Amino acid sequence: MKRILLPMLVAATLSVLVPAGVRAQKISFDLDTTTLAAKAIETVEITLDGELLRLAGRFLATADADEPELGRLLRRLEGIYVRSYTFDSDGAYDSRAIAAVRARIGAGWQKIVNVRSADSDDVEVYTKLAGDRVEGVVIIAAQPRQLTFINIVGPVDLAELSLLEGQFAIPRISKKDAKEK
Amino acid sequence: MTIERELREALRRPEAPPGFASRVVARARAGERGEGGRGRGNAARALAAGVLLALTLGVVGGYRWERRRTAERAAESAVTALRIASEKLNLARQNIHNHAAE
Amino acid sequence: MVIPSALSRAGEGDEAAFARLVVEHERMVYGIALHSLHDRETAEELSQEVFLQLYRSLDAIESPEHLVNWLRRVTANRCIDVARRRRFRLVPLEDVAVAGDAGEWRDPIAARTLARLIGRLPARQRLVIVLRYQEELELGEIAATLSMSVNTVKSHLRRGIEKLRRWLGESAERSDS
Repeated sequence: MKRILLPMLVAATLSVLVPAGVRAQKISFDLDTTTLAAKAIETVEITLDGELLRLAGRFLATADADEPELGRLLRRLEGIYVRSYTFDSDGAYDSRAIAAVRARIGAGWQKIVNVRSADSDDVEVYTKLAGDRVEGVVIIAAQPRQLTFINIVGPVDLAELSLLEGQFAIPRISKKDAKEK
Repeated sequence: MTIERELREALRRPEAPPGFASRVVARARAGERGEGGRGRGNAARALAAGVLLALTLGVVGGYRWERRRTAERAAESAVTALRIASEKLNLARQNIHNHAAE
Repeated sequence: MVIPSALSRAGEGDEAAFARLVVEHERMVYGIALHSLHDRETAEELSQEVFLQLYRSLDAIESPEHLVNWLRRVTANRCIDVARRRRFRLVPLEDVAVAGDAGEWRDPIAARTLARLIGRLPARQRLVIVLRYQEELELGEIAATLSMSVNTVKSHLRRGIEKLRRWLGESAERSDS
């Protein structure tokens, strides 16, 4: 089943640049992560906010750092939260975990992307806007063998974030790749 | 199978850096001296002052070093998080492209 | 008459014996670290820390075989911890070791490409591949080293090789275009 929602809105949203001074929009990922982590063959749990996040941003923004742009991006943010679980078989996780996180995405959040691929990769992207400012982003990626929740708090530029592809050994998307799928 | 042979060739054990073993032994020796050292004798006060100074410098230097290590680890986590976020965003973009191409 | 081994003499504080143990096993430890982390500086630092941990744990090592297994396990687990946190750092191809006998012809470009692609795998898949093809361990030995089931090792190996094959194919296409 294919679902495509609002590609034009996605394009418009991706091009929004966001000023500073935003309220925190943190979504709690306090799920039954014990169960998820126990079944997973690989778990990534990252919680970065407050002083740790500031330290990270300063570190990356130093003159001799490898990634000064990342440092500048980080220094605008207020929190980054990731929970990612990889399993060794399809459908090994309980989808109720996804429903539990969705239930915490309350009023004021807008789902701007909801797309499923032929490989059953479900990705939902939510943003919290204040006027034309993005205050937070939530990404839920439910793939057959990996479940990922991401919450970024603060003024995040989705276009800038997606441009990080091409670094970290992630190949760039090309129309040729898209047509061959 | 070709890829397995290529993997064996690509993953042959490399030479360790020159002087590796010497550096390990030196660190092991330094670690022992640090744990077992005792001061005694006529220069006790000077020794105490020296130890105090070394400890202070060590604490300050150690604090700075520890803070740098904390910052480095936090930076690593941040970049991992952003990498994952970028990957999932682009998964969504790829799926949108695929649907648009059909 | 029993001739004390380097292991037993090192355990009694013989520094030269400990140095001999380091020299005997440094390529294995450093190789696992370098192929897993793709960063010479980090690989050396990690390798040094593994041997320092060995220095502190010599009393617990029962035999030369136990020593090898211990070194592999400690190195692999440290690599998993570091690799997850350091995925952002790309290493220039030149920095990735291309080992082998000087007199034997090898394709250094292909080896570097493959080594770099291995660096893109998730940490545990990478370790399984390294232990299988650098250390020539059997699946059961890899499972014991990484504290996972044999089925999980098989899964990591299969998926890792599938990805590498696919990426090698894409890499070849890009270089042709």
